Amino acid sequence: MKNLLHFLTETGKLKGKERRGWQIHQIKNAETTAEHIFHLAILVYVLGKNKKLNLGRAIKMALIQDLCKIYAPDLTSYDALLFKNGKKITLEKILKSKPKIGCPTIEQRKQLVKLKYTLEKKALQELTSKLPADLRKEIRFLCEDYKNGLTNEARFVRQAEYLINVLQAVLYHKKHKQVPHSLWLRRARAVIDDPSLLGILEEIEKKSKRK
Amino acid sequence: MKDILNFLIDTGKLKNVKRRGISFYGVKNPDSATDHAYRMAMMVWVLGKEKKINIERAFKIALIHDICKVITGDITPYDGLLPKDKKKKHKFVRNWRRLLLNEKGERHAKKLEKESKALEKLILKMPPKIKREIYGIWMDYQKGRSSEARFVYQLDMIENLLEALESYKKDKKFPTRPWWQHAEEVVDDPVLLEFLKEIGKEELKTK
Repeated sequence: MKNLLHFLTETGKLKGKERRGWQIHQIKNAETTAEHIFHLAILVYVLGKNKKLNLGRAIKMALIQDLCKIYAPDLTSYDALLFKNGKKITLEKILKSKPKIGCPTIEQRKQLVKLKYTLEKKALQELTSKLPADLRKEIRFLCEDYKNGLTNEARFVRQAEYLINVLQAVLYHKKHKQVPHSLWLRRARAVIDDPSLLGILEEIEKKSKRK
Repeated sequence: MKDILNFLIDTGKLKNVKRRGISFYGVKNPDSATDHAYRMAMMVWVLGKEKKINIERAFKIALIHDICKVITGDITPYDGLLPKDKKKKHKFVRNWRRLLLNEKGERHAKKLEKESKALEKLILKMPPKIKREIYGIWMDYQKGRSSEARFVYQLDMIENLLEALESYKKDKKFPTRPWWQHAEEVVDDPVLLEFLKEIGKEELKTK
């Protein structure tokens, strides 16, 4: 019980963590990581219902996909722009440097993903190390599945995460013009292939064009 | 699809609905309703793992139990009873009596009516299948019919208590007692009682 309480207290810290991706655009009172996860879970529920998915598993994945952010830094895809010609760059440098806005190359994305993967794996191990064995295994296993897109549930939730980010970007863009939502839209179009998620994406695109 | 998108946009607004209970005691930046629902869902998982409940249903309950607040705002049992002046209010709530059970019941019935109307409005245009499910789940939660609903309701109180304890850790003047009382009234699940004990130990450590 003590370890469960500790774990739940730690996960509670996600409530105070405003997401860096929005902070970069100087959005005040940006959504927190916990809020992002909630929104994602709702999306997974509402759209996953009519699919042949294990919905319980999909919701679990939505809940933990950002759990590692409690200990790991919240890196954004903009950070990938700092990787240049295969040169090494330290994490402190990434977090300190003024973020550039733009679209990173595939090579840069790969490097960022690699760095994120190591950091987040370590963070997750630290976070779950004292949990009861079966719960620990379940969480770690689901995280691996999610990161690698092994099951249908993982692929669906991953795409849903892009979609919910696009939605938030478009909503922020409507309120504060500084968010370049077209970057998000472009990325989502490249990543999403699930028909129902595409349907929502189209609606979001229509909405973004309306004044 | 458009209706589903609108539903998502509406539920997203829940991020701006701040929880008022702890703000009565002068806490700035209280959790939003979504922050609260997120941790409840985590609790469903972590504490419900060994229980014989339908975890998928319990998740759904935790996720949607507060969505009507997008329209109604966070209604607390003390609405309209406290002074409007902030300073006075902070003083007042610390010494104020608890509501009688029948007072609470009356207020709860009014709240239920308001909230169910809000919920209906929120899901009005959703596809019929999911609309029925959300409404059914929400009503189940309000009436505590299924074992999942009762479990999640108890977790709701415990999440509040945890938040209160966290506020207390930041500001030692913050009273956790009201949340303890509420949890004591509500919690009877053996696993959760065990969990409450652990929270009690944790609080003692910080004193």
